[in-house]
Amino acid sequence: MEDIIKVNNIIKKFGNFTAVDGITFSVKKGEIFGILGPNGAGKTTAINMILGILRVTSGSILIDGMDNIKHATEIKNMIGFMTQETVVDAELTAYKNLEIFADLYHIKDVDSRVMESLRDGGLTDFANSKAGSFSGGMQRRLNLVKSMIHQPKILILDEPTTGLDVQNRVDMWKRIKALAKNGVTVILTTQYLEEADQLCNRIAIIDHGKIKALGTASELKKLVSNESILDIVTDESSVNKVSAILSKEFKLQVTENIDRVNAPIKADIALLSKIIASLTKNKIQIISIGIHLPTLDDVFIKLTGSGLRDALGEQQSNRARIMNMGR
Amino acid sequence: MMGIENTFIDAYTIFRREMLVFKSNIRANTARALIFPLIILIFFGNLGSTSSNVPIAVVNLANNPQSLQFINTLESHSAVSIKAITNENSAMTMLGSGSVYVVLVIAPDFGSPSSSATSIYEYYSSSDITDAGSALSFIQLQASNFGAHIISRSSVQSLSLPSATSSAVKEVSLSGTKASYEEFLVAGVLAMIVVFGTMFGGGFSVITDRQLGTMKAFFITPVTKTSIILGKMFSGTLQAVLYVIVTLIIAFMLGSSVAMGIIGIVWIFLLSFVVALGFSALSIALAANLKKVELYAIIANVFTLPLWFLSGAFFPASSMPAWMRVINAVDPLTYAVNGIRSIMLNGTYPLSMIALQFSVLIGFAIVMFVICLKSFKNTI
Repeated sequence: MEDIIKVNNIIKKFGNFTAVDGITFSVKKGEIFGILGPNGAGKTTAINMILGILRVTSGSILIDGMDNIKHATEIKNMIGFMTQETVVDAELTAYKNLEIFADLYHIKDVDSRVMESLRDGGLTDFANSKAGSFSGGMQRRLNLVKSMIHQPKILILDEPTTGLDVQNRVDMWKRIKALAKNGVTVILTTQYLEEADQLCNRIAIIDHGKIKALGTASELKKLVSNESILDIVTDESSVNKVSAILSKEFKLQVTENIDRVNAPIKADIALLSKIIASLTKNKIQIISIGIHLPTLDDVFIKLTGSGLRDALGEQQSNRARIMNMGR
Repeated sequence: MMGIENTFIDAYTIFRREMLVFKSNIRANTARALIFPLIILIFFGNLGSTSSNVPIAVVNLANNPQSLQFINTLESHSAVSIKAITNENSAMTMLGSGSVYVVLVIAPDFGSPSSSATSIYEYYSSSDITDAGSALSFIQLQASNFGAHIISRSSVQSLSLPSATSSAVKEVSLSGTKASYEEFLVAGVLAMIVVFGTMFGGGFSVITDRQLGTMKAFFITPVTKTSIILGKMFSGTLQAVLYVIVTLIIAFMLGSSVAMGIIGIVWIFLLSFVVALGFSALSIALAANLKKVELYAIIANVFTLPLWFLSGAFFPASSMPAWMRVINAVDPLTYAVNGIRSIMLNGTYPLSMIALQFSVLIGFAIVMFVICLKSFKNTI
């Protein structure tokens, strides 16, 4: 697949602060490309530079072979963007919101395009209602169809599901997958691990303005381990003791994180029992212990030394169950 | 050519969007833009309850046809009641005893043919300022129509006679209108409404769009900053003209009239439109790089309130000190206020005045538009 976007060593400084510190990556035509990182990592800044609405301090960005500043008008006709904040004109109806943007893109048959978009967004019955009266999910859907009113080749979504409830999040994921099936190249930034894991063909992990790793979810997980991950939660004062036992007695490569100890391990029940026995013998308080396949959080911990905790905190397993129901 | 055509098409789209947002908030917007000017009009202008027949004494040191005509003009209106035309000692005695509130001394050189302004001295007791106030305003209005310069003394001092200066009376025919301070004020209030309307319509919307993220959404589209500026400029202008219409209707209901009739009203709209264009562009230029509404409000007021106060809205330029008259001459609002006043009070709008005022105001609008283009960025 050919590259439709090429980002070459872009840097952005705001005074003395470097928000984006030399990022290079390409996006292939038709893929869903994820940019994963915590708040403040530089995701939105990088996106704003790709869109041409924020000037790079240095570096270059080519979109479909064209420089994104010199050919700004042509490129803007090719790209749709959904902002992180839900941006709708609250005082205008859903119809008018879309009509204004359809006019700004000089769409020929505005009425039929607007009606089609309202249908896509499940908002036909609310066409003449003020957007300010919509629920958060409805506003987000309006925002999404508005960003696509001109049928762009490339769609950039900045944290498309942040702040949405689970149901609306599932719905948004379905829409994004459908877009990609129709040949739209999608770039999305996210701080949600399972979102990146579920949706994206390739993921760039970004932290403090730099790309820490780039690849498919499987490739990234293999950076951590070809095997499983042992995960022990204990009290903070016991973490050192647990680490010492695992590394000296069982020769495991240990990573500590506040009250957790992780280590790559073979998925072996017998080995697990020995570890539990040893910890019990040393009178260590264990809150939880288990083995799982590597997650992107494990990747993140390995790359940055700290976990990527999303807004919904420790409910990843619950969400994973619901996601599986949606498939 | 396609580029220019698209610029205007996109500007119209932005204009349409602005007017739709304005329409959905029309009550709040109208209240916000009109409340302060209407307070000025009603309270300062004392519409409906005029302090009239304020007793004054006149000392006529000129005793020439022009001074007599001036006195006749004062007598023909109910704002003042001339109790005596007498000498200076008697007049000051009457002021001291409270039987008159104002003593008006017409300087010896009132009406002499030369180029500098004539002097009129007015004396009043500061304890009587509330009663004397409307009389003083009225006298100032009439004096300015005679090209005279007022010197006021606020306490009962010993009368110091003005030294003889050569001066010429620049008499402006009033065509028999009964000009009151209220009507004098309407022109200034209309100018103020234009300024307030454009501040809220043009620049304010730039800031709120930036805060809400709508501006960023516009930047993502191919729309140029020229289109955004033009769309917001014309929207702010139309909103200001709508406010002028509402204010005129209220002013008419409260007794005001336009001496020049329907044609005069059309000219008032045209003047309002042109001055609103310039101030709309000014408000956008001020808002171009501001992120906070509070800061914008402060900066906008710092620019526009002095322009309004020094435009002759409240008091004629002839009663301003020299340095203020310089600002008055370069203040674009002055031209709008003078034009509206001429239309409403004199019933005339000569071609020379039209040419001067419209060229100044259109020039101001073009300069402000260029400043907008330079200061407005379509990046975040």
